[in-house]
Parts: sequence; C-alpha cells; structure tokens
Amino acid sequence: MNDETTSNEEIDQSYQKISELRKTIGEILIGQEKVVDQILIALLANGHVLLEGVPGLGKTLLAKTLAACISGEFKRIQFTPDLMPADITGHTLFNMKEGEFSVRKGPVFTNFLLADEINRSPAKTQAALLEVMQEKQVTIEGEPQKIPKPFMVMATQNPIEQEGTYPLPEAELDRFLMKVFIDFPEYDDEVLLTKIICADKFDDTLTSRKLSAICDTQYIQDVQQSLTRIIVDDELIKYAVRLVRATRQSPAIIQGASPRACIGIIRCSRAYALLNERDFVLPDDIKSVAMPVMRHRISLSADVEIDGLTADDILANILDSVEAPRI
Amino acid sequence: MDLSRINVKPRIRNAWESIDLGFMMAKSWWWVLFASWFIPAAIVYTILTIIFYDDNWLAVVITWWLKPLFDRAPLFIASRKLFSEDVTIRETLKALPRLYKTDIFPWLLWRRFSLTRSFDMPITVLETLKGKQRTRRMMTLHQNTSGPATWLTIVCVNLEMVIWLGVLGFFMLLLPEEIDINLMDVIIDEGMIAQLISGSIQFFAMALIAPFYTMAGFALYINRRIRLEAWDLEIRFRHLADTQIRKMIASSSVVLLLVSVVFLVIPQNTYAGSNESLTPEQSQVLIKEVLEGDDFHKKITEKGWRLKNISEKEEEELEGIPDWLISLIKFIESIFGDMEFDDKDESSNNLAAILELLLWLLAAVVVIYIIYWVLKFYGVIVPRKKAAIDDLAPPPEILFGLDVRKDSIPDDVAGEVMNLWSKGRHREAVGLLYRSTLSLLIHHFSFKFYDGHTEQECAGIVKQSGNLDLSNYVGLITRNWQKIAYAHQVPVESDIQLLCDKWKEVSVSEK
Repeated sequence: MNDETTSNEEIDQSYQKISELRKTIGEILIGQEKVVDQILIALLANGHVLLEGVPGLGKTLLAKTLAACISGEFKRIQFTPDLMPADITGHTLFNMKEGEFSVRKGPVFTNFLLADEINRSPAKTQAALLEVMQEKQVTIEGEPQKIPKPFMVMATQNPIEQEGTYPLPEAELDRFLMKVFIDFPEYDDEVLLTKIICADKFDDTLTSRKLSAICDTQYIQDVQQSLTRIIVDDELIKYAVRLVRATRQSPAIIQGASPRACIGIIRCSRAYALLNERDFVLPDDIKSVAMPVMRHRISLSADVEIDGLTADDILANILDSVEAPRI
Repeated sequence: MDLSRINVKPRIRNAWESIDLGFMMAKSWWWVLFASWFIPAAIVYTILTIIFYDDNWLAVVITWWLKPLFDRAPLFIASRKLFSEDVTIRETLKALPRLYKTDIFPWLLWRRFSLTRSFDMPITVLETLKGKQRTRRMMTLHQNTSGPATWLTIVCVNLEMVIWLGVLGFFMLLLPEEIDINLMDVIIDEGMIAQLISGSIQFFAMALIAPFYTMAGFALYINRRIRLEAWDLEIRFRHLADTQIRKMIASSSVVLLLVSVVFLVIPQNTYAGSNESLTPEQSQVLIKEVLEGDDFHKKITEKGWRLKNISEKEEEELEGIPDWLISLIKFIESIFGDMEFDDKDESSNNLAAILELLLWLLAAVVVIYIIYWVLKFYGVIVPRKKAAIDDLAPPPEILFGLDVRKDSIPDDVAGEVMNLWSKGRHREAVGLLYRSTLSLLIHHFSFKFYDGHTEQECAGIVKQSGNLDLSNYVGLITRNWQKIAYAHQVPVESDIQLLCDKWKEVSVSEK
C-alpha cells in the first residue's frame, strides 16, 4: 500500500511539472498541442522524433523552447548534400601548442539536436547519427565519447520538396521513436499567433521572450526512470504486439514494423498515461501512440499507394480491426 | 480563265498530293504571295501595336483574327498566276477593298474557326457565291477533301506555334547565363518589351505559314474542280484539236479534218454538226421538233429494291444548318466512310450507325451516372478509398471478441455479481457486470461495436447516443473495469453495489 501511495505521489508531482512544461511550450507554439504532447511523450520515453512538415511551422522554435524549459543545451545542424559525418560527430585535431591530438566535439554533444532537413544529406552522413541515436555515444578515433543526458534528436523532413533528397534508410527510420506530423494551425490559433508576434516586435523571430527553466535535465531523467513504475497489464503488452504483428500480415504492407515498434509503443503509452495523470496504461493509450510510433516503420505495397492510401489510413484500419484487450 | 494556259499539269490527284502541289506553288511564287499577305497585315499589326502599346497581345489576337482577310490577296494572285496571267503587288493592293468586303462578316464571325478555311476561301473570293448556292457548292466540293483540309489547318496552326516558340527559345539560348529569364515568363509576361518581342515573332510566324496554307487550300480546291469539271479531259481534247488542225493544214485536207476535229472537240454537237448551214431560226425549229419527239418522251418504269438516295432531300434540309456543322459531319463521314464517297449511301449508313451507337453509349453513361449518384446518396455504395480500407478489414465474425450471446448472461446478473464479489472474486464480478453491460448495449440498444474499439471508445459511442442515464451507467462500469483490469486496483464496493442496484433499471429501460 505504501509503495502504491508513493507511486501515486510521484506520478502526481511529475504530472504537475510536465503539465507546466506542456503549458509553457503551448503558449509559445500556439495551435500545436498535439505535436507538443507527442514531443513530450518522446522526451519522457527517451526517444527521438522525426518531424515532418512544411517550413515555417515552428519546428526550430519547438526544439529551442523545449531545451530552454529544461535547462538543456540546444544545437542545430542544417543537413546539406556536402555535409560530412565528421561535421556531425566531431573529429580530432593536432594541437600544435601542446603537441598532441585533441578532440573537437561535433554538434551532437548536446541535449537537443535539431537535424534540419535530414534527408538532404546522403546515407553516409545520415548513418553518422545511427550510433549516437542508439548508443548515446560517439566514437572518435576509436575512443567512445559519452553524450549528455537526456539526448534527443529532432530530425525534420519537408514533405513537398522531394527533389535532390535521399530517403532515410529503414535502419535509421527505425531509430526514431515517433514520426510526428506538424500541420498548419487552425484559423483562430493563427490569428492569435500573428497578433502576439506582431504586438511588440519588428521581425518574425519568436524567441525574444526569456524563458525560465521549469526543471532541469536531471529531473527529466528522473521522470524517465519513474515511467517504468507505471503499470502496464500483460494484456496491453499482448495488444501492442498484436498491433505490430498485424502490420506484418496486412496485404497492404510489404514490410511491417519491427519488434522495436512494440517496445516503442509501450514506452510511449506509459508517457502518455503520465500526461493524463494516470499510473496505469489503458488500451486507449496504446491506440493513441501506435500511429506515430509505427507510421514510419512500415512500407506500403504499390497497389495501396496507387489507390492513394497513406500509412495512416492503413494503420487506422489495423487499429480498428485488431481486437482490443478485454476481460 | 483559259484552261489551255494552266501552269500545272491538270490531272486528278489525291488530297495529300494536292497539298504538296500547293506548297510547290507557294515556293514558286513566294515573294509576291508573301508580300501580298505581309504588307496589309504588317500595316494593321503596326497600327494595333501603337494603339495597344501596353497590351501587345491584343494586337496579335486581332491580327490573328483578321487572317481570313489577309489570306485573300495571295489567293487572288495565285488564281491569276495559275493561268499564266501576270499580276503585280500594286494591282493586288488595288483589288484588296473588293476582295476584303466579300463575305467579310461571316468570315470574321461564325466562319472564323472553320477548320477548312483555306479550302473554302476560293468559293468566296473567286466564285463569290453566297447563301444557298454557297452551301450547295461547298457540299459538292467538300466530299472526301474536307478531312485533309482540316488536317492542313491543324498542322499549320502547330507549325506556327513551333516557329514562334522555337525562335523565342533560340534567342533565349543566345542570352548569357547571367540574364535570368524564363521562356514562360516571356510568353505570358506583362512587360511591354517582352510582349512586343513575343508578339512580333508570332506575327512573323503567321506571315511565313500563311502563303503555304493558302496555296495548299487553293490546290485542294483546284483539284476538286479538275475532278468535277474534267479539266484534264477538256485540256486533252484541246491539245488533240490543235494537233489535228496542224495535221490538216499540212495535208491540205482542211475540210475533212475540220469535221473530224469538231467531232472530237465537241462531241455533244454531233447531231447538229450536219446542220451548219441552217439559220438560227431554222435550228430552233429543228431543236424544238427533236425535243418534242418520242426519244424525249419515253417513260420507262423500273421496279426493284435499292438503297434510298437522300442526298437531294438532305441538301434542302441542310440549308439552315451552319457550315461548320456540315464540315464537321463531312469530316467524320470522310474518316468513317472508308475515305471514298463514290458509295455515298454506304458511308452515310456507316456514319449513322456509329452516331447511333455513340448516342446509345452516351445515354447508358448518363443512366449509370445517375444510378451511381442515387446509390451513393443513399449510402448503398461507398467511395473507392473507403471501400479499399473496408476490403482490408472484413467485419469480424465474432462480434467484439466476446461471448455476448444473450444466453451466456445469467438471468440475475446483479445477484451473480454480488455473489462473486462477496467471495472475493472481484475481477470476475466486475468482468461479468461489464460483459453483461456490453451484451445489453449490443442486443437491447443495438449499438455497433467493432473488435478494435476500446472500453473508452465504447463508452464514448454510448455517450453520443444522448441517453444520459445509460451513458452515466456505462461510464461508471467502464471506469471500474479499467481500474481492476489495467491498474490492478480493486474498485470501491459502493460503486459495485450501485451498479448492481441500477442494473435492473437500465436493463429494462426503453431504447
């Protein structure tokens, strides 16, 4: 009983902080509540996010705001066709003064890394992110270098300009916990956004407001750890597995999601439960996170693509047809 | 028109060969034809450019619209040159007012988009026919030639476009890379200079193509006349007559040969040839006698089956129909009538059959379309995208994944639940109550749930129905079920007691 009480208190405290974080980011990034929630879920679940949306929707602002709210470090890499792996991870330099090699760390040594237009670089450069995303470390000249914690990559893709891009290989896509679509805000939100920005400013930068940190990086790590105490019934784990396996059996999908998707769904559903002030996961939580966790891990068949169906259409169908856990 | 002075070999050609002949004529008389088109057109274009200096496209469009007038001067010249008559540009320009005013409005209004313009123009310019006469004449001339005449127009329009865009593109290729300019911008740019350059090139393209187009149409027209009026035979007879005359003079048998020549040249006068000494009055009397004779009053009745020849009736009926429609039908007829009009009835029947088939098809499409929309309106059929999704998700055979048959639910649900609860079998108790509630919702209240619906979604569906009591009940049992099933926490007993108390009330309530 005591454990249960402690757990509930912990959840309550975490919920208060995360709600405050969510509210602050929501005030900056107006009209993108769903995106903010999904980014927070990915952060709490210790994962990386692939953001897809047209330019000008506040992806950089989101990353910067998130970093500022948790006293984290933020860095941005603009991916271009001539970007080299060492430009991301870092490299060694011979220090003439000291007469020895020293490591010059790349931009990945940060808490929040915004990999802008990641598909503009060839696969070799994209692959440089693989180790750091999965292992949370970088090997430079054979020496593993630790990355600060928490570490989160927010990679962006532009859905329109596909010319001159390199599609991300499946292995790398699988490293992203979620794929989040960021869309245009609603009319009222856009009016409010424009009003706020134009009220006391003469340019369109959105970061003039000094944000005070709501928590620190250590607190986020603690919450990440505490998520493991959120109850997930075995039936729900089976449900998540059924959903993922259904993607492998669907005739509309030529390559289904990997077991990493099952793990991702459960991790995300725990974070989702926390955002909803619960210490246990419901099937609804699984359903809510299943689509962003799986949409980038499946490959549709040609017939389905010709019919104009998207990964979300097929996943919605799977979510409707796979039996939800009961009794 | 002296046929003996014709400049081309008068033989029957097919339509395409005639177009080739027209192009050859345009090449032979190029400068005079080009000048006769270009000078008046350039004057008009220049004036229009000055008037619409901000909107040069208007000058181009108006010049283009006046092309049926500008085409007449080359046609006038060609009609003279064909029969070895010399005509200068000055004479042509003098004749222009007369040429232009003939049928000016029809050609600039409803005939402007005629696809057989160059072929029809000689009827206006050279024969100056109007109204019914023109219609009849066109019907005669158009047989098996309207198709090639139409294609001639289409090809020439395309050639104009190719020259226009080609020259524009050529000049753009010569521009240095530093000058950032787009071909489409030049074509549709609103800038004055760009429009002027583009418009002028377009005008020159028109001027270059016009002589060829006019001459090809004229050659088609001449070819039809050679066929219809047997110019080739007439010229041949004349040559024979000349040859015979020369031979007769040479052999001093003038009288005898002259008779034979007359016989050859004018075969229809054979019966009158022997009456050369008669006076006109005597001839008239003789002619009258012959006409009144039995040969001209024989009546023979022949009976038998044959296809109806409706061409004459057609001609009368067609008088009120626009020329372009007649041209279109002739064009279709020429395509589907095996390209031969000798057997006109057969081609007419073919055309009629095809048109009938097309009309039936159209009617069928309209009916199917209406049926489709009616069915779609009433939700009998669903759009392809939705259907594709539904195909991928066939409805589950076991509804909701639960045994929700009525007979699987105990008669006294509340009693059974409390009995299980009192024995400490909390999960079973709440489970039974939840399953009974679902069964009730499905069978009694006819809610439709699918396998993929979670408890929360089911509760949401019930809430949407507007039945507040039922909604509250389902909400409460759902929360308790979720608590025990997923949070592994035992619900408060009072809640279960309340749910059991209300069970009877809910289970017998109206839908």
